[in-house]
Amino acid sequence: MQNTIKVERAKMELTQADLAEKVGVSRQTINSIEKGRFVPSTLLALKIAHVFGAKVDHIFSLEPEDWDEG
Amino acid sequence: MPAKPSSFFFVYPNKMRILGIILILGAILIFIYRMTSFNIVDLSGASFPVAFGLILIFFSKEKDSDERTVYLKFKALALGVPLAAVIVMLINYYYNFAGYSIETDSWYSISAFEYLSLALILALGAFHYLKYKE
Repeated sequence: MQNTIKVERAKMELTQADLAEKVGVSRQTINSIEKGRFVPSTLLALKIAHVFGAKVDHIFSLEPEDWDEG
Repeated sequence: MPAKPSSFFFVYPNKMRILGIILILGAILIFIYRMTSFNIVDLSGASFPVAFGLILIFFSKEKDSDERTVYLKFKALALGVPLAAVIVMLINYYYNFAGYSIETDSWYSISAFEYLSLALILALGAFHYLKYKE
């Protein structure tokens, strides 16, 4: 799953720690999501999108290989 | 009040970790005291409080807990539980079963609490490694 968190953060001049604090998770969790190592829950994805004032599917998008995972 | 999502679920509050540490330290002190004073080496007896202490430590909420912590703990358990089973089987096969007595038809086998302690030690180690690595 791709995401545009890094780009959106840069636009809003937010650090990973700032975003983490706003959505109530650790900075490491934001880092893992940004790098695609951890897929967030629907609730966390909605919170992240809310901080950026965008829709979830603007921040997160599926990749073809996501359909292959069981 | 809305229900908390399952990804935030922890069995015990953060303070229970302290009780877990106290249990383990107590077990170690009693183990050392019995060994030095009475020459009794009782791993099985010590393994119950150690296993219980490790349960409290592993399943308690951490200060920086979030859904990634839950994911990493599950991943760590998935590594620790089968690895401990393999280690226990090998110890039983190559070491404990060597003491099999045909007269009494008995041998020493690793207890459930010793297995649980090993599994949780491995899982805790794996969790902190994954937390650092990922």
